[in-house]
Amino acid sequence: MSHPNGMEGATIPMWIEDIVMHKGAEATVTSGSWLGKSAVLKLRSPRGYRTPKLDKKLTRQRLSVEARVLGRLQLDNFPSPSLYDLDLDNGWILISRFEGKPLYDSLNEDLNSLEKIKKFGKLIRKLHEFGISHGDLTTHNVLIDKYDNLHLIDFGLARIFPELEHLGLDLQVLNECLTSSHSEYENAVDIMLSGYSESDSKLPDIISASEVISRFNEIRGRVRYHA
Amino acid sequence: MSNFTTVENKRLHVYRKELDFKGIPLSGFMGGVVLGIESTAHTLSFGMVDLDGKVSDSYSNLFRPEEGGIHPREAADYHCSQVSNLLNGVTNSEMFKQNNVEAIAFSQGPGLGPCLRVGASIARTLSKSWDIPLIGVNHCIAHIEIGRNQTGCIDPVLLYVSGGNTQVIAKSREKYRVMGETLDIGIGNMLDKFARNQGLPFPGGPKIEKLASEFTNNLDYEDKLIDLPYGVQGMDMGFSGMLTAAQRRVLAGDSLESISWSLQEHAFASCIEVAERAMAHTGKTELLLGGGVACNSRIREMAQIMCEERGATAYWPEKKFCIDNGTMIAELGRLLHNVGFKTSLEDSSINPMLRTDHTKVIWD
Repeated sequence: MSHPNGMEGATIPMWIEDIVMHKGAEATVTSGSWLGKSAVLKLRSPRGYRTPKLDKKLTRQRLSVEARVLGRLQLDNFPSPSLYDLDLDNGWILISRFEGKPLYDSLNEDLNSLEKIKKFGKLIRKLHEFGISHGDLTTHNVLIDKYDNLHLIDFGLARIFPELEHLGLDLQVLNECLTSSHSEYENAVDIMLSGYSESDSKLPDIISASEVISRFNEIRGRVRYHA
Repeated sequence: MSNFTTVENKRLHVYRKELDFKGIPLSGFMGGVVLGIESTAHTLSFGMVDLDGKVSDSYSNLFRPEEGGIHPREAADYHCSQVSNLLNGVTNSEMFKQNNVEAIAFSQGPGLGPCLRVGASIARTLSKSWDIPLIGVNHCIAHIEIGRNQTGCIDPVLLYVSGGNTQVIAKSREKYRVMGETLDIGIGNMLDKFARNQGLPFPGGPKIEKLASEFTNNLDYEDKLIDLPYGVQGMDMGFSGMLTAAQRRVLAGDSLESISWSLQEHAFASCIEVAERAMAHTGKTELLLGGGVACNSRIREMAQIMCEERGATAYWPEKKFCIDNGTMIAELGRLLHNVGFKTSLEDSSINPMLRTDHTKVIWD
């Protein structure tokens, strides 16, 4: 069994590796199986450009927040991976696999996908109502299957008990992604926001969708040279 | 002329007087050049690029505030006082003497209004008195194009790190788009502010780099990293929290060397991380550094390591083309001139908020 990036010799219990699916900026993602279940291994290999102490701190921080968030989301049946196993020292996390492709690809392949963007907006609201901010909402971090079911991944920058600012930032990060990578959808951001507001449960003690959107608009005004 | 402000008219008048000494350059020489004028903030600079893309050095002057940060109007007044000197340098240069100036390019934005107006007024004046086309260009995109000219990269992700700007830019569907950026202050601004508060004069970046590199002479320096906030929010960054925390550590008695090093490590790592994420997101395999902070050898080293680890290539131009310079404006002007683009006098107003994705990329 060989592992990408210096994991040779390390054994992960019950894990049978298949192929490297994706080499992202943060982690190498490998598919395989764990106790017969279809699974994904996310290995956060050390980033050589970061000084080791900072690298270790960030890797640990992000792995543990991801594990905690996934555990919490499982309790609420939120469409996100199940946590199987993790190793903070060696920097990996083993999670369930979802059969789907990034929304990024889906939006590029079928240019009539506004409905999917709206659905994504709704899903984000649901996440926020569970008291979690994602921290890195891009169209690569949400998977979509052939029935248009969405599945949110990559919670390394997430926060439990976020402040209003973090919820607003989630929308801002997605706004930049939609306007820079999916500029063919002219009103993508508005559609996403309409989905976000529509699924507001209006429960007391929860930061309302309109509060988050108005903070988002404030943050949007902070970037350089906005219209 | 209707949208010139009164201030611009006054300034224009001053320049006319100053520029009368030269008039139209002699014709009948071999090639052509585009003259570029940069004046978005601290730097007033002139540079030339010939029609084949061969560049000249820039003739530049840097405004250094006596105390505090940049005051736009004071910078603009200072730039005005330097125009004759710099233009004399340009017009006495071999490249100028041996070529016809075919077009005048200037930074139309983004930047500080009063400073931008200085460059724009000189450009309009020269264009009118030499009767050659005027080309208004986007300052941020000029950083990309001089980088492409100098390094030969083709379709890079640009990590643009300067005093006022910290952006990750990539081309998609005929426009350069901002994939991520700072949500508070620019990285160079953060470094300058930190330096200024420690009594180090502007520009502070090189001084911090020196202190940081002195710190790395210590044997176990890597264990002495001071913990600072790490401001990455998805594709966006923030540096003000880092700055506040670093200043507190000064008060707490940590050495300036150790804080400078830790500050660089945290700030640069967040930029490189976002740049890497943009490369993963777009599938691009070239990284280009630009902006004054790209002169720092540690951020260059980090860019190199990151790219090597993911099988990509990092590029950066020489320092003189990382900082703001007139040559980069000339280079983007040349590319636009080649496809017949010109800016009419009516459309030549400056735009301090000019967006990167406002410009359609109509050149190769």
